[in-house]
Amino acid sequence: MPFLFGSNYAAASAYTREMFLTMLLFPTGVLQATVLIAMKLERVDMTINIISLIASVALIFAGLSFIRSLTVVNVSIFISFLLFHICQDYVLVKRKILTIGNVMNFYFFTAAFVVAYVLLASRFRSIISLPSPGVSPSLYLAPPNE
Amino acid sequence: MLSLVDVAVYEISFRVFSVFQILPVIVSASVFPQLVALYNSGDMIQFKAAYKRYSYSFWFYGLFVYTFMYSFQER
Repeated sequence: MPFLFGSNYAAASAYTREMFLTMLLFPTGVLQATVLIAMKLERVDMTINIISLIASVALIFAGLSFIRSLTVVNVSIFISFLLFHICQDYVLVKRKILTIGNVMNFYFFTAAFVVAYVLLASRFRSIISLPSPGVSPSLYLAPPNE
Repeated sequence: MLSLVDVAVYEISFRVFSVFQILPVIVSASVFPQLVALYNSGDMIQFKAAYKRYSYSFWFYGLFVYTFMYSFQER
């Protein structure tokens, strides 16, 4: 991130990482919205969008009144997307397109994968990270305890 | 409220995010006619099968993009 936008915006890396939590739900959320519209449930889709928008704005204002940080904005958007996804799941389960097992599997395996990846990434960081410009690749390939 | 630097940082994060959000939007718009045709045909088994097939692809895309960004962002 500093390589692209300059060292003044080095903090953007951490916030970008937080924002990408939403990417765990965004693609399937968009697909589920498309499925709802294909099933002629545009009004339901619009209602879910409005609920998500209200939740997002309310959480951001409530959060910022306590903590003035971009993390509040990113987490609020993630929670509103989670609410959006859960509402879609509810409608699709009621319409028998999905089962409760499908929905639980999605959330369980997504959470398990992300937690496992985050925990393991710190152990294997030397393998999966790209070397920064100007830094010898040998520093990245050295074992963590050296 | 937040400072102007925070707004700039948010804008940078969102620019990167918007690059990766384009693909699901394009693909979902592309599969929409097929989903409508399957739903209108009344063949719910095919409709559910198509939805599940696309759903797995979208799910893996989300996981891939998140792990990619997690790994390649400097701390």
